Amino acid sequence: MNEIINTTIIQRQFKLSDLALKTSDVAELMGYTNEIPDNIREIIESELSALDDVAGIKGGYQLKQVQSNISDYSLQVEKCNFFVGKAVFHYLKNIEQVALFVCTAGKVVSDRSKNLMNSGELLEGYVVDVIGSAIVEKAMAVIHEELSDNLSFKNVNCTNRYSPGYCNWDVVEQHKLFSLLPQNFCGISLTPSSLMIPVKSVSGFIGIGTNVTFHDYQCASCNSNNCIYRGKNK
Amino acid sequence: MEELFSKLADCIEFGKIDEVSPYPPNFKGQTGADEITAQVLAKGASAQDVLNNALIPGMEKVGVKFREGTIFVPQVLMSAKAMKTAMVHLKPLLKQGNVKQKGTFVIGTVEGDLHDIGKNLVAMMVEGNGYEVIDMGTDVSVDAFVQQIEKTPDCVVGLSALLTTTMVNMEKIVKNVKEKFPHQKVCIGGAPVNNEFCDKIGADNYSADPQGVVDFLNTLAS
Repeated sequence: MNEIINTTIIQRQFKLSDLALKTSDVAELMGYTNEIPDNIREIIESELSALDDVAGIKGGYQLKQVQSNISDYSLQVEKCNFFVGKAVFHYLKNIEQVALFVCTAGKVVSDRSKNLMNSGELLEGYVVDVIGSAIVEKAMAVIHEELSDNLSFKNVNCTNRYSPGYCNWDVVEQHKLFSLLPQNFCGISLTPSSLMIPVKSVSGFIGIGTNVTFHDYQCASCNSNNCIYRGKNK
Repeated sequence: MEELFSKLADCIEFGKIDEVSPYPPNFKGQTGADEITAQVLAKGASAQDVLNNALIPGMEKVGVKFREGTIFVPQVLMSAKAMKTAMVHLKPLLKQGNVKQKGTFVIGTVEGDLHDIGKNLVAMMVEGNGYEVIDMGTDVSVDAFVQQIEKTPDCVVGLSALLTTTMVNMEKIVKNVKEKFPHQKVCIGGAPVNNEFCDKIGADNYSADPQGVVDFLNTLAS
């Protein structure tokens, strides 16, 4: 199978200011889709300001060849066979390459949240935790968009981002995914229980091919009730 | 006194910590949980009265609103902070032993898992509803739970997990606890957990939200 794009590994680093994260982006993840209480708004703004110079936001991907197998809804990438589940397989079955991605908001964000909570500032600690989620998704969205733009010149498309732990794709398969990436790629490591460190990190697959499309989120077929995209369509 | 209890319950419900706290805006300039608790105790109310007539009713309303989706985590945390401020006044009285708490709740995030926001929310809600809470933190081993149960044999145990890889450790903990303490009640919660899993591992209760844990504990306490 021909490689669609040749650049096999990309790593990006961001500052918070690069991501144009808005107060409303963070508030929305907390559930505030309309009016944001004044004090919550103030804490979000204050913490965004405190984190403005944080430079540990990193993300990237490595491109690999992939072979799909409909008999067991699996995707073979090098030595690893990923059992992504029926729902994810449905969207990835026609891919020709896969971008194995990771992204992190960095240690500073996770540590700040933890320290605030440990010192009894639970609300502030929670706000930083949610900012971490917003950062990592926004940074990954930038990387995803750049990949998509690069591919569009070649009339090739990419899929949504799919991650172990969602849509019945077992989170334990993180270990396979990380085994295919350079060690400590983007500064992220994995615990035996498949928890990424720093905690505010994401990982997964973006499918690439001429016969794939980006879909709205299919929440009805996913059991991840705490997913930040639940009920949203992009 | 009734009016003060009612005001204190409102402070808990809406997260008014003290007089200088500018939030919520419609309470601006008014006394908060800190001052009102001191005031009712000075007027002769017992710690039990404060718990039963103000803190518990206030936190119950918070739990129900959170369950119904009319408030979100930040507002629960504000209420919890107001409650903790009130509890600072009550804790010395609680230690004297002349207040009957409803029971003891031991809670922890199971081994391998470091997530604690959900666990903290449950701990705060349970404490605000009149229970002693022993929070064992995150990444808590089977042995640590067993040792704690030996110290507080009448406790109910709460297990939290956010990952499908760590929810399996709940099974190990429940199995060990039930082997050593067959009558110990264990409840579970967390994003990947459900009633089916609860039944499968032999836990006594699954709750989808903090108020569900309070309801379960209240059933046992009544």
